[in-house]
Amino acid sequence: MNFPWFFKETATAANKQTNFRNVTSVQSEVVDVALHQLKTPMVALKWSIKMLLDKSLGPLTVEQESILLQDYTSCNRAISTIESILKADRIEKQNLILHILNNNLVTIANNKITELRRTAEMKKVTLTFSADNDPALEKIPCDAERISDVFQNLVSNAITYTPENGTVMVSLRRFGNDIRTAISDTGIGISKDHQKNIFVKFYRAPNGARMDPNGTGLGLFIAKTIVEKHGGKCWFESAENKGTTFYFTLPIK
Amino acid sequence: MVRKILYIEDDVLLSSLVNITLTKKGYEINTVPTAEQALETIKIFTPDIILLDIILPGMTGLQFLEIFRNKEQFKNTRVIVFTNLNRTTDIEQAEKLNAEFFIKAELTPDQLPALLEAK
Repeated sequence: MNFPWFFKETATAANKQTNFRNVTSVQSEVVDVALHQLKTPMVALKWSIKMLLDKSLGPLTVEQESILLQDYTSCNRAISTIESILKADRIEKQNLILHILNNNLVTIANNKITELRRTAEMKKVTLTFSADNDPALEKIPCDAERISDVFQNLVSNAITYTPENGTVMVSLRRFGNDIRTAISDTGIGISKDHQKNIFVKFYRAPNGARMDPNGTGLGLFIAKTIVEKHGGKCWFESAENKGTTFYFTLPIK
Repeated sequence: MVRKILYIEDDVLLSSLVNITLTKKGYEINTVPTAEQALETIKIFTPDIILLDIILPGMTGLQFLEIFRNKEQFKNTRVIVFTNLNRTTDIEQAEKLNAEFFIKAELTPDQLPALLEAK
């Protein structure tokens, strides 16, 4: 049977599309396994450094201990970079499965802030937290682990890009049927030219890249996607050299 | 009583670190790099606990687990899947085969004994 030319074209295009999807899916699986395989020796290195630091393999000189502490930090950074890439990849493949339960948003935020307080202190950045006294905040339908990732990415970014003696303020407020989280800093800000790309995967504003060359440019992409998957919104206001406020909302029901 | 551990892991450094840590804590530990070798080992070594990696050369950890669970004497042996792969499908399969699931990167060696004694 002879099909009109446009049917043939469409069929070919569809086949190409299917083949492309198959190739992409295979590549993605290969990347996934390769990244996990890269993570294994990094974890082994981290473990061996931890054993040396714990002195379970014998005493260390002060100099050795100081070098090993830096090695330990580098290993953790490499592992967390690999994890960010995996997370972004999973989000892109739409493989990010949320386990939604009613969770206390104040607890999730507070736990993360307690974890990050030490980093802020080391940078001499004041980190504050406040939340509305509203029972609705105690049962927000969300995936606690993923929302904790959002706090991790936004609050740690705020600390990273705020110079010494600056302030990072985290607040949780109710606005109608949403809880709005605001993370405000007195940091370097994002210039107008770079604001439109800030949520793009791997994108880094030049002043941010100068201040922290080790960033991956994945944190904001991951945070925004997680929030949107929860039915919320994520945005920011910023002025260069003055500071930035990132907001995200989560619906109460 | 000395607890017997079988650790199936192809990363030499990781298996030797776990070996050192657990031997010091008084465990009897046997490490093998492949699932095929593990199937041979369990003919002569009856573990109390199995620590199992997923990506291994040859048979995967989860394929091993399926064969292992089909053996009557190992139906209730504690198995801890100990991996860097954080895939929902793997977690579900491990749970279906009555195994626990832990991510290596989230642990440090000093936490291992507590994990083994947790049950």
